[in-house]
Amino acid sequence: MNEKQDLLQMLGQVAVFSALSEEDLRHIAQTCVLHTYSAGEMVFFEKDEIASVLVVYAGDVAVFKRAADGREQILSHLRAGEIVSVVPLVLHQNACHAASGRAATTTQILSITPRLFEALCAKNAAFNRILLEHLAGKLEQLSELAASLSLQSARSRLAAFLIKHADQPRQSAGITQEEIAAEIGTVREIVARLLRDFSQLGWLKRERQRLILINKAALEEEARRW
Amino acid sequence: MTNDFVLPILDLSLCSSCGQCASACPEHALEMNADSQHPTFVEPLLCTYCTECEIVCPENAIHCPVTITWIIEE
Repeated sequence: MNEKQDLLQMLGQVAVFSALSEEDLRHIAQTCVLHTYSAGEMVFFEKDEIASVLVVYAGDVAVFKRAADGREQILSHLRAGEIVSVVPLVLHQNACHAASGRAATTTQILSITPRLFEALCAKNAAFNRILLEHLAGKLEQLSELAASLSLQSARSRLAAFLIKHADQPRQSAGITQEEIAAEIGTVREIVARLLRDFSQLGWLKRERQRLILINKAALEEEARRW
Repeated sequence: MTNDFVLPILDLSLCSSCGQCASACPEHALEMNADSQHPTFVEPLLCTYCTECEIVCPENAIHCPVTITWIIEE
């Protein structure tokens, strides 16, 4: 199988392109570029103009806002098949990224021209439907994040984060207290204090670079607290 | 057999040589090198991975990554 056929097959597997005809896929394949980013590498920066439409082919992009003091809040993780900065892209011409994005793991990004993206939107109802579903999913996710940040304590958010993270089957790299803080909207000193509290309560134990969750019922009860 | 003994990761390009990590280390595993003015693990085997150095570093130059897992029931 040659490179072009590989790319066509790849594009067909991307969820957001699943409704497109082979002709449309071929058109994308002729113009798109595939970039690979290492873990920790910046994929895009807040306020930069969206020069091309980026679609996550594989991996994980952490989308975040950074405060003037350097503190970060992770807004979402974009994974395979998801489009970067879809909201400004739909709302504005000459749109800019509303947040920054960093590869959380080795990540592959497909880059297509905004003109082609607009052309696909203009002629394909099924493609628009998928975009709408994507947007609705993002809205739901951000609503949950807003509710959690404003109504839940950092303690409950940390318990929920630990459960969610431990449930992930593959963890390619470790996570630092700074990164946990960015995920749950607090600072690393609070994360460290809460982890110590949880440890003293016997909910978890630390074995060097491993956090081992012990008391599932207690952590789940804490995570449900509003 | 796997070697599980890892040390905190020092990113010396971010280090401002403030010495807070060395002061915070309860085991004195980490000390400031008089020549380079950067933290150095002088007694690496004493490090308990308590993450105190990571917590106090104002430059976020020390990382203690952890994996999070459920305990395996026997």
